Amino acid sequence: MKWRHGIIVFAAGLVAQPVIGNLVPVLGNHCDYLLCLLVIAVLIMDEPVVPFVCCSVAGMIFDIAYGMYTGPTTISLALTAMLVLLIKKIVNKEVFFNSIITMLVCTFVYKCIYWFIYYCLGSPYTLGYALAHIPYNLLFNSIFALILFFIFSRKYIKHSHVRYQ
Amino acid sequence: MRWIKEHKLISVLIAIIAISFVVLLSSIISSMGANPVSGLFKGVIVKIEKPVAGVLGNVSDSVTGMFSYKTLQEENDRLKEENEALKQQLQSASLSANELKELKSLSKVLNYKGISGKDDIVSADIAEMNGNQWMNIFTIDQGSDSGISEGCVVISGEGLVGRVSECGKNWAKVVSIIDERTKISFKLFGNLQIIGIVEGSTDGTLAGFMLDAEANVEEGDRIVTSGMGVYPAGIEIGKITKVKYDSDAQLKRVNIKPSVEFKSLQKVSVIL
Repeated sequence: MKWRHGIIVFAAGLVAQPVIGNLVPVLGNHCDYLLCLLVIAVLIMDEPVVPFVCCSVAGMIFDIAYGMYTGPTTISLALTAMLVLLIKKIVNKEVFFNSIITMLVCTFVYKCIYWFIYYCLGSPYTLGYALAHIPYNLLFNSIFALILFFIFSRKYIKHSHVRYQ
Repeated sequence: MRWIKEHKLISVLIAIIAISFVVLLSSIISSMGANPVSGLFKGVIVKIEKPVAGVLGNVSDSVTGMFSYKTLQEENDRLKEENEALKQQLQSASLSANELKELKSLSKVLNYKGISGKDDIVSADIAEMNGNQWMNIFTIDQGSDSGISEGCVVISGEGLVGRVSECGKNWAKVVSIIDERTKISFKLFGNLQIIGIVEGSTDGTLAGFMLDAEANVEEGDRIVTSGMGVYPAGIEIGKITKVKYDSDAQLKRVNIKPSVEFKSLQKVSVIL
């Protein structure tokens, strides 16, 4: 992924996250665009340095704009990206079903890390409350991840020419 | 250096996490005061997102309107009837000029905090809301240029929303009463003698207790701000959903459902 493409894609995710959430407050929650972009990019690309950096910067700006503190989103995204790197070693990235499973696991882990950071910073909320809307998150994130998978896989997954030998 | 070159991805990730921790620490330290860098970022973000939200909002409203014409028609009729009823109610409840003058002088003597008129209120649209996390924090499109400052009370048509936690020229960050860690003093709407204290709870609702353990409170009672502390008197906070006597603390504890549906807020008013 080229730097300019990364900047455009993650900037779009950064703008879409609060605007769409504000316009379509479906069940109080919606898709986590930055997380989906990061997970699918890391899963599919061989050298995902650009999405790492772009997503981290976007996460930082997101925290500056909406968070109580600056940093929890970036830390959560980076740790989730590490998890994707581990998952990548054991799953076949060409199968779309694997991308959905990865997305589901990552959404759950991301929410837990985010909650834990805020809990350490003195947030009174319980994990149960923080995860109350997670079923909708999982649903929306999986759908968006699937769309991203089909867009990204066309460009970044190089199919082997010797597949049937 | 060799390890870094061989493990480029991990190195980048570790560097990002380290930088984020430093930023997080500095943000915790600077959260006590205004941060100019953060203010600059927010100003730019609000400027970018306001037109985008405006265009998408119009599209969303049009599409919603097409599919809910019948509901809107019914709502319109109901609101017309309600408007007429309220007009009549207003006429019967209006005070004479002398009575109003007397009350104003009395409120001055008693140092009573209330909303004194239209000039004290600024209307604002919600520019951005992070609806994806559980916290109810949002940014509005009015700031210090409109007279808003940190600590200003934010309300909506449904009731008390929260307080301004940070403020820039054209934006202000609002923290809801659920997230707000300060305690709010309240009165019962039906009986203004019954006073209690409410604060955010761990499950995203409001919890509180009555100052008088013998106070006659029931489920379904509505509560309003008492006027003590930073919040002006008479703003609806919510409805009591549960009353329980805590024998250890010898207090009557209450659970409250806020009147405001935070996730679907579109417009708010800020009391200056």
